[in-house]
Amino acid sequence: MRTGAFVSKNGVVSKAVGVQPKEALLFAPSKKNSSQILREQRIAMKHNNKQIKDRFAQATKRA
Amino acid sequence: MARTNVFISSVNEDGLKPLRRNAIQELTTLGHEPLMWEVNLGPWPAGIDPVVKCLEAVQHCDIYLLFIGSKAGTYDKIAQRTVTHMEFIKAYEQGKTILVFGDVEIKATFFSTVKPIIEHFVDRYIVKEERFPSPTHIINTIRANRNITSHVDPYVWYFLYDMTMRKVYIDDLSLGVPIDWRSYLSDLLRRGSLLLPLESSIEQNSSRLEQFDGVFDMLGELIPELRISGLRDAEHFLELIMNRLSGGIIEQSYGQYMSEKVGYYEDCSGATLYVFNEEQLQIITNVGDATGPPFYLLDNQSSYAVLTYHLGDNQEQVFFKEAKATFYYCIRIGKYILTLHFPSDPNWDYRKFIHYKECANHAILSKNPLIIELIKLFIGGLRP
Repeated sequence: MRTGAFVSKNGVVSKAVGVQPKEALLFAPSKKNSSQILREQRIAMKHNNKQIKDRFAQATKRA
Repeated sequence: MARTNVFISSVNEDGLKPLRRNAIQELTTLGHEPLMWEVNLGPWPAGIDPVVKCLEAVQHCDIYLLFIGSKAGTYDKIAQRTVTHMEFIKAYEQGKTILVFGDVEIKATFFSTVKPIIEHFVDRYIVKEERFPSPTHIINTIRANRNITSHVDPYVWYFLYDMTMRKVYIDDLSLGVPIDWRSYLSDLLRRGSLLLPLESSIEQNSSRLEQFDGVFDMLGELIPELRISGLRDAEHFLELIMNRLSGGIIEQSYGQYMSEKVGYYEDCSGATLYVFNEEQLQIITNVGDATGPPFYLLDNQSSYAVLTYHLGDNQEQVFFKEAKATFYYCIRIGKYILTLHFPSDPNWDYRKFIHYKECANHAILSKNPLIIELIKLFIGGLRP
């Protein structure tokens, strides 16, 4: 995967090096896309949910 | 009836010994079960790693109690942490109730002198290296600073700094003055009593969340089975999307616990939907302040829509144009290209974008990926 920042100027895409004009279109490939981020958020949500349930089970357990 | 298991953590230094003895006695008298390495936790037979066993005990405790004096204790070179610090991290990661007591004089010196020195060093290091310094870097800086008293192990300052980063409160500890355990435990009882009656509401919310999550899974399976013949009102469809997408803060993270705001972006102000047809991208509609041309040829590399099309199916990209002070979040879904326009912080220019490119990408992509996924599913089901 390409890394770093890129620029589209006058119809040509190149690495963004040095001063860039205001009209330049800049972009940088992301390490993750929204689907991957969503997967991580859902895993974290499930983990938190489980932790809450386990805690309540522990808290209300009578020895 | 289950009793409260309290793990007592501290370095075995002379100044803290009476305090630890007193804590064990008091907590036992009050009906709790204190655990401490030197008293009732180990030693274990040869071949068993005592650090692992201590960390296991922390994992199973109800309350983690820590006393901080001037000594750092045993340092593990690989972990770059002391054993006591590792116990603290374990308790923190496990979401335990943590009570920390720090020597009142050391605490005062830390907040008045040492913490500003560390923060200054960390700030300069981040500007220079664009990352957070390692514990060794911080400790070496403390050790080399003549304004910091040498009768406290440098690691202790780093440990206190880590606690403040995690926003863990450090209570005063005056050597020779016993801690009023009844008051502390009464306060914990008050906090627990406020939360425990909410158990059924919290569990209900938790179950509903799982149901919603299940519905989302099901939508993800069902929608691709549909062939959607078209959009009844494409403009209204895009407006509904645009109005749902709010702005956010762009943050630079340094390690797990520290971040700084480096900019922001405003609510979605425009959107376009293009479709690939007859070797060009043809506009379906645009809303808000988006003013896309009727079509783009596929060799037009000035267009963020075309650049996104060439990335391939299901790919997405955030673009930035200083002249328009706008971020363009573009997504390719099959033959469609959706572009979402977010006005940027007016202070943003090409330098900031290049410097904080990953932060900007992350801020926009992670704001509400659930909505984006749903949009992808629907547009993905459209028959061109």
